[in-house]
Order: sequence, then structure tokens, then C-alpha cells
Amino acid sequence: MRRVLEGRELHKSYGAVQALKGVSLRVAQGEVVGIIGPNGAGKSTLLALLAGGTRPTRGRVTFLGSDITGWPAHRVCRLGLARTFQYPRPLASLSVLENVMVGAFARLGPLAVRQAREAAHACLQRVGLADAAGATAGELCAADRKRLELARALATGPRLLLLDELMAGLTPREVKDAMGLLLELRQDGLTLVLVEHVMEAVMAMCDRLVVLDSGCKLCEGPPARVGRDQAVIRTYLGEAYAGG
Amino acid sequence: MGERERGVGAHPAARRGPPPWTAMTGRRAGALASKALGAAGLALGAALAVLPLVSPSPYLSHLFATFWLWAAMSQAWNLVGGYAGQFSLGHAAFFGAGAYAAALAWTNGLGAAAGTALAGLAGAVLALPVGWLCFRLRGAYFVLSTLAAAEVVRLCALNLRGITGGAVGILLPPLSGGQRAACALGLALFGLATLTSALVRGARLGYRLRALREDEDAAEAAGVPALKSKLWALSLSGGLCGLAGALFCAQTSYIDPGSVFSLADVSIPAALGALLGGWGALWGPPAGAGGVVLVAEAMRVLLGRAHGLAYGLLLVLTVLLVPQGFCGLLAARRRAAGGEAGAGRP
Ligand SMILES: Nc1ncnc2c1ncn2[C@@H]1O[C@H](COP(=O)(O)OP(=O)(O)O)[C@@H](O)[C@H]1O
Ligand SMILES: [Mg+2]
Repeated sequence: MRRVLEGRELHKSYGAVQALKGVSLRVAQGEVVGIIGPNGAGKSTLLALLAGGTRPTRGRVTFLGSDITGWPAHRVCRLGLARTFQYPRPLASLSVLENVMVGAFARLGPLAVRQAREAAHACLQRVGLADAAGATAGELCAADRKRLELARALATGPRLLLLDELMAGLTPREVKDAMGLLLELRQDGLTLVLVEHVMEAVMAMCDRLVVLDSGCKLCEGPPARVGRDQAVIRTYLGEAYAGG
Repeated sequence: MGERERGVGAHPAARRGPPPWTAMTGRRAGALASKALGAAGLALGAALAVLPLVSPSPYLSHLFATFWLWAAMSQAWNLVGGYAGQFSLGHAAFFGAGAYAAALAWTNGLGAAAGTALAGLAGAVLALPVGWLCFRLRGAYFVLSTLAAAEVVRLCALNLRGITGGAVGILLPPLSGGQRAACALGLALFGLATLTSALVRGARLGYRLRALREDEDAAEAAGVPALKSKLWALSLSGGLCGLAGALFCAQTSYIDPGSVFSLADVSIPAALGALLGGWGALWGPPAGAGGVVLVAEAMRVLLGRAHGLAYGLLLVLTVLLVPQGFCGLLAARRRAAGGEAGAGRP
């Protein structure tokens, strides 16, 4: 299988805090990789290093054959790697449609406003936010902010999506919708890396899980095996998922 | 598509708010009112634009020439300060560079058009290194760095005596055609600035600048090249300011570093017009510039040369009373009058 994304021995320190202590990650074309672990384990930090804009203290990141370590985020995005933020960051005074158009412009010319609008509409339709296209982004409810976050990332035309706790705070019904959408995206050929706490979703969707704890990789493997791992059960899952 | 929509259902935003018929009438009335207001504004604007060109009063022409100049400056400032939210207090650097480029070109025998073009070029090109340095900083540090940049350029103009004549300044022959010509040129410049602003607003650059104003990191993650976009905006803005500098030079027939690189007389009124009228909007800056010019003129008549004080008071009052600017206030009123039909802004 073709490797699309690789992080090698990634370290990140914020002053005295070592958020990541040498984590490596490989993602193959078309794969769905889940990253799980307790709060503060370094999951969001890992995504930030992979998505550009944040330079690792040590280690390298390769995407589609290019060494993208320390690249600005917009260049990484144009290369085909998009991300969502754990705490959604809508462009508050812009409309929902305009938010997504900003993403669509990543692949369009300076005057291609009509194409951007059409592409944005298509993305909004996809995430079920089309009815709110004209609303002000800052006034969306929490679940819709997550939808918007995903639509804006999708509009940039990515090959790989990094999703940070997309399903956190959603109702079971919304989680089900989101899972359906992600499976569709996968069928379209997108590679997905998700940070999630919603274990039903993680177990059902991921080909492979990576477990982080205190900035280190605790274990890695197919969901069923990770679910039986004694160390993972102890530090994160608890008994509910023991036995797989 | 049907597959996708089935599980999702109607969006909650569609279910909120008043029944559709009230929303429709409210919106229609609002649209009609805003159309009428727009038409009235346009007619008034056209009358005001033509009147000083045909009126025999040189004072009126002078007043309008000044107004168009500052309306254009505010419009230019708005590209960076309004759309992109980068609050510059260094726009005098581009204005002064343009004024000096034009003055030097004209005293060295270049034609009116060539000198003007050089002035625009000087402003646009100077914006690149200034932006490259200042855009590294955010917030108050950015504001201070733009102030410092303008000060550096002023000191250069003051000390490169061999080229600029230093503190003595440059004297030029008066503009042929007098104040009426200055007024016509000012109107043309304002038209150019407004056209630029409208084009930028509707193009990719405008979307990107507004995205950067809201959240730079989120915009970058969505593929917006922050530095490049801001440099484009500042360069366009600087070019327009350079042209304004050339016009100022032609209008006053005399420039020195103290007047064209001035914080109080150039950078602040440029920003103040946009702030007062409503930053980020297309018609805010000229409306605000009108207020700025009138207040400055009134203070000149009443108190002699105390418009610095007036600007300060105006700035404080604006920020306290209408932080969204005059046009922002009108837009909010209109939205409130239109009921809950559309989603309002915070
Ligand atoms: N910008 C930052 N500055 C300082 N410390 C940070 C920053 N970002 C993350 N950290 C710290 O790094 C650790 C890992 O955080 P994070 O990657 O957000 O964890 P997770 O997403 O797994 O909950 C935490 O201890 C957090 O406090
Ligand atoms: Mg996190």
C-alpha cells in the first residue's frame, strides 16, 4: 500500500511541557486511522504538527513524497492535507457559505467566485448545512459549527483529512450521520486520520488505531486487538471495552 | 444526494424564526427601502460630484478636492485596515513616497502622467518591504511597527538632502486649471479607489482578507496564504495612497517631510475616515472621510489650526459610540427593522 503521510520521531515541547515525545505515524492511501488516548495525551498536538504551521521540536513530516516539516499551513493545505480544529473556528462575521468559499478558493483562480460559490454549496449539501448557507457563521450552534468546520476543510479539495474530535458533543443521531458521511468520503478515495473519544465510531470505522498517552505511543494495531490490550484498558478504555 | 439528505433532515436554522410569509414581506420592504436609500444616495453623490466642478466658487472646489482626496485615502486604508483588519497607522509612508516621487519627477521635467504613474508605483513598491516587516507582528505591535515604518521613511526624506531637499521641501509651479482641476482629479482618484475596493471585495482576495481578519490560523489552515494576501492588499492600498500623494503635491504646490509623512495629518485621517464611516464596507470610508474633512474644516475656521485635537476627539467618540462606524450602524438598524428574516451580525 502506498504511504501518503508519515511522521517520524515527532517531538514537541511547549516550554517545559513535553507534549509529544517521539511519536511516529504512517498512513497509507485510503486508510482510516484513529488516534485515541486520554485528555492531554498529545493527540491535537500531533495533528497540528502533521498539518503544518506548527514546527516540531524534532522529527520530520512527509506527505505525498514531500518533506513538509515546518511548512506554513496554507502550503500543506494546497498539497492536499486539510484539517479541522477540535474547538471549531468559524470565521465569525462571514456567512456560512463564505466560510466554505474561503476553503474552495484554495484551488481556484483569483476571479473564480462563481465556481467557489458552487463548490461551497456542494460541500454544505454534503454535511447537511445547506439550509444555513446564508446564516452568520458566528451564530451557529455547536453541532453546526462542527459541520461547518468539516465543510470548509472538504472544500479545499483534500487527499487526506485530519479530523480532531469531530463527533465530540454530538447527539447519537448526529454521530450516526457523521459516521455515514465519513464512510462516504472514504469511498470517494479520501484518507482519514481521526482523533475521537466516541469509541463506537472509532471501533466501527478505523482500520488501525494509535493510542497515545502522555506524549508517547502506547500501542498501535487493528481496533479489535487494541481493544483487548491490557495497557490500553488500564489507561484509557476502562473495562467497558475489554475483551473486544 | 438523496442518500445523504435523508439522514440529515431539515436544518434547525430553517425551522427557527417567524413564519415564512412575514419573513418575506419584511425582507421585501427592507430591500425596497435599501434600494430607495441607495438610489437617493447615488443621486446626491452625483449632484455633489458635479456641483463643485461647475460652481464658480474656488472655496467649494477646494473643499471638495480635499474631500475626494481623503475619501480616496480612506478607501485605500480600508483595503488593509478594514477588509484584512490590519490597523495601520503608517499610511503616510506611501502617501509621502508618492508625493515625493511626483514632485521629483515633475521638477526634473517628466510629464504629468509619468510623474503620477511613478507616484503610484512608489507607494505600491514601498508597501512590499514595509508589509514584509510589519505583518510579522500582530495586534498592537503591528500598529506600532507601521508607525515606526512611516517615521523611518520620513527621516530618510528629511536626511537625503541631495535628493529631496531635506526640511526645505520642494516647491512646484501651481496646478494649471486651479482648484477645479484638483477637484476633477480628486474625483477620478476616488473613483479609482472605490473601483479597486469593489473589485477586491468581490474577488478571491477580498474573501481571503476578511477570513484573515476573523481568524488568521483558521484561514491559513483553509489554504489562505496570509502574508501574500496581506502584501497584495497593502501594495494596492499603497499604490492608491501614492497617487493621492501626487494629487496633494499638485494641489498644494509645496511639500516637505513634515507635512506628507505626518501621523496627525495623513495616517490618522486616512484611518479615521474608514473607522468613522464603517470599516469593511464599501461606502463607509468615503462617508466617514466627509465627516473628517468637515470637522477639520470647522476646527480650522473656529480655532485656527487645531484639527489634531478634533481628530483625537472624533476618534474617541467613534470608538465609544459607533464602534461599527456610521454605515455599520445603518446596516444594523436595517437588519433590526427587517425583523428576524435574515441572520443578523453580532
Ligand atoms: N499551545 C500550547 N502551549 C502550551 N502547552 C500546550 C499547548 N498545546 C498543548 N499543550 C499541552 O500539551 C499537552 C498535550 O495537549 P493536546 O495535544 O491538546 O492533548 P489532547 O489533544 O490529546 O487532549 C497538554 O499537556 C497541553 O497542556
Ligand atoms: Mg485535543
